[in-house]
Amino acid sequence: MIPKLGLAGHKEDPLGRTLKIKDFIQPTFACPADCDLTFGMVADTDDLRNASIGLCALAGPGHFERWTDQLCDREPRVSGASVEREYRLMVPGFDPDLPETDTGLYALDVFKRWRSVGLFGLPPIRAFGQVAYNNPDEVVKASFLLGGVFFCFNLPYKVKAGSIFEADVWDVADDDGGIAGGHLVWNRNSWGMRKVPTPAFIERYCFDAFAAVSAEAIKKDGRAFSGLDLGGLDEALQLVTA
Amino acid sequence: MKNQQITPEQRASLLTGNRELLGHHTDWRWNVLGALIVALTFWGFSGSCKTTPTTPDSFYDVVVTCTVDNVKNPQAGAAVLACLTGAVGGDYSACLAGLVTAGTWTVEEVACIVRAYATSSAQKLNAGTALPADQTVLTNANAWIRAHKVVYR
Repeated sequence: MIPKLGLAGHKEDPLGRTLKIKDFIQPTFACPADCDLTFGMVADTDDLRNASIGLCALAGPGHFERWTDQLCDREPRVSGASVEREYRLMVPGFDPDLPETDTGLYALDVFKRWRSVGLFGLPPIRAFGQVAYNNPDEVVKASFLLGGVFFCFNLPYKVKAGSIFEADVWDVADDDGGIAGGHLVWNRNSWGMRKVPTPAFIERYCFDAFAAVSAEAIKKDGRAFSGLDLGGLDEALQLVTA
Repeated sequence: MKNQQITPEQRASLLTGNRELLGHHTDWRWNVLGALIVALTFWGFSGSCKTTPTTPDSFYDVVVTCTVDNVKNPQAGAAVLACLTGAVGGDYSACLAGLVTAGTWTVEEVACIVRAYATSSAQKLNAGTALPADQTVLTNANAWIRAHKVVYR
């Protein structure tokens, strides 16, 4: 059994304006080989209606905002209701009882909206950029610096440990049962459960990855004191949004 | 909302505590004796049915679950730090393996503490508050995590 999946597929900016995170990570930025930014925090077990509606492209940012809330000692400002409300805004005419009305969402469209007007009624993020998902060093740096990476997967039905929905470690199976659909995962959290994709799994099934630049997310724990070229980022952002 | 969260201050305090522990001049024979007693007692209760692998080979591709409890043990923290900083003679990787083969700590404890040190050293390096040993700790911890392909669940 696998829940409804809602990532529409791959989409590139037609003008090539999407920033690359690697261009703004300082070479001197120190980073552990593996990091878990939710370690020691209360696990976010709310699936934000993703399992029932298939709105992963918005549930991922929703989990990120809830993680930021916890970092900043706030009550969570995002709920399943607010994620569904945002989904209905972005997918006009969506009716859960009429599958043909659910077109899903592209990650790029979600990130553009998140940066320009914000999601869930919250302030927008400062920027976002693409992460080279096939470069483990860049993935872990972006994750440690910016608060997790958003992976876009062509999700298989099965992983080495069995059903993709039930397994907590996602490693490549000899027989993956085929592709179930597109799915966005933020920082080891999918459907409110802990899911850890291995580098081999990312290499095989990932087709795009993003990181969000949020002032609140990077100011904690000394992760970003010297990590990001914020001046360069702002300059590049002005150029691509002019 | 928060019931197990470690603040950066607490984490720093934990690591400082480990360093202080290293500075104590405890007779090493007492440590070895203590470790042996603990290991033999554990063996007596559990027989050979250990749930956590305890051979150096099991470091490779191991899947570990880190909890607040298994990274806050000050004795384990001191032992791992001594390996990572080279305070104990010989190769740091062999030193870490030795903690497990001696039956003192489990693979899971060692792997989780290694990552905790890598994280705190990186934070201090980025914040400009690092001690000279932090770069060594980060380099060795990262090399160890990558070489053993540890999967942190």
